[in-house]
Amino acid sequence: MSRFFKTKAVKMLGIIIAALLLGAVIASVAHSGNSPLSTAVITVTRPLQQLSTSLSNYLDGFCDYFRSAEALKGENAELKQKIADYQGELADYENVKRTLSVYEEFLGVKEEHPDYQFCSAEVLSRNTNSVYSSIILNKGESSGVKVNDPVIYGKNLVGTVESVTPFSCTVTTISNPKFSAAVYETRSNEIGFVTGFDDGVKTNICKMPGLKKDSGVAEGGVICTLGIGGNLPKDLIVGTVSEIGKSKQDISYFAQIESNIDIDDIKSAFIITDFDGRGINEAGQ
Amino acid sequence: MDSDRLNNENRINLIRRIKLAVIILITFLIQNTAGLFPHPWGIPAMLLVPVIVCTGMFEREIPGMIFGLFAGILLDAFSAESLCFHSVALTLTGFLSGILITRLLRNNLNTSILLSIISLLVYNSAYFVFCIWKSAGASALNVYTGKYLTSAAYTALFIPVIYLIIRTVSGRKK
Repeated sequence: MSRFFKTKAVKMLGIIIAALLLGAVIASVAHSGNSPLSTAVITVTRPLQQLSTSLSNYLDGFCDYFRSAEALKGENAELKQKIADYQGELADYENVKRTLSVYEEFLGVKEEHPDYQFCSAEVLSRNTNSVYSSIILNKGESSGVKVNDPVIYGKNLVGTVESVTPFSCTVTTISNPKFSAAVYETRSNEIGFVTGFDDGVKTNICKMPGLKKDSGVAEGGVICTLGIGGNLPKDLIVGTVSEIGKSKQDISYFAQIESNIDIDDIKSAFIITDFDGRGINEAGQ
Repeated sequence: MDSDRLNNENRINLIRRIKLAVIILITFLIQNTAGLFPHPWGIPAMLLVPVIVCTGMFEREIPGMIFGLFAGILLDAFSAESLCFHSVALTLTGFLSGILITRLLRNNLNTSILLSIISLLVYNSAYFVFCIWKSAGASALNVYTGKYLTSAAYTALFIPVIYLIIRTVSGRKK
């Protein structure tokens, strides 16, 4: 047995695991959320990830095309061609319309809050290993992105930056239990916080726990960020209250909040890299 | 003459290992890119685990460990929950698969299915315990059974295909 532990393979295994743990410790101390090795790997594999995402998007459109073609089996070839052409144009139109509405909304945010510093980012990939929602964006330290930067889509909050590398960042979305933000309900002005559900089943739903029985928070109420804590600016929309439920752990109630955007479906987002009041409470001022 | 044969063997080994590294990279991209691989009812397939088990079985402990490390670093780089869990777990998976084939087990499809299923269960359970349990709170059991056990079962469906691919690339029968 002792001879087994002296073999080259076991020694190598020990060294590798020790090095990995050391990397993890360095990342924890540096508060970057990524070990130096991970940072290097993300940097190297980013083009490949972009390529596979493009391939996935292409295949998605490819399947849609065939589904439509099957539905039109009985039509003649000329009509099929015309419909396919129209569909192509319509898809382009929808894409342009969607992009335009996002940019219009973004312009509104920019005009309302001239202090915001933005950078636009594309979704590189999604973390499929975890039950909780997180996405990888293609902007990182080189674009001024920092840990805890808010990520928005139009006026809606997507989440906050969890970890950052030179050319990418990981975003913890509002449905992740690790996410937490101070919020208020716009009708009743009731203050609370939002976080993700423990089971993480739906990616665009979060909850506002700790409500009293006579709480003014009701279905249809809009939940916005409160802007305290120095990490999130005020008045970003978290979502709309879709249901009030009773907590299983205690006697309090919670509001189920549905985001106005489908976080699973977004292809791009904006990262707010700076705003007035950022970090004030962090520094204890 | 001997040195020529040695050079030729080294070249063949290198080409084979480059092919395996490419397979791991492609598997990672398929696994981690939304929309490239079906996720029935939102259940993801952890394809890299059986890939590393089969690689360890054919390449034995040291290369298995290195390939496991490579796959683990790729996963860790894109994970919000873990700093080095995947690297450590897949390095150990590659090492243990290799050493078990060297010392104890026969290299065949049945063994690969058995080792992969055990690895998937241990891997997913450990990931849940170390990275998810604390956040899951009261829903922990539902999350574990609904996502992680079913993910292991779903991934197990692809083990024979993965074994055959790795066996073909390795160019070995045993």
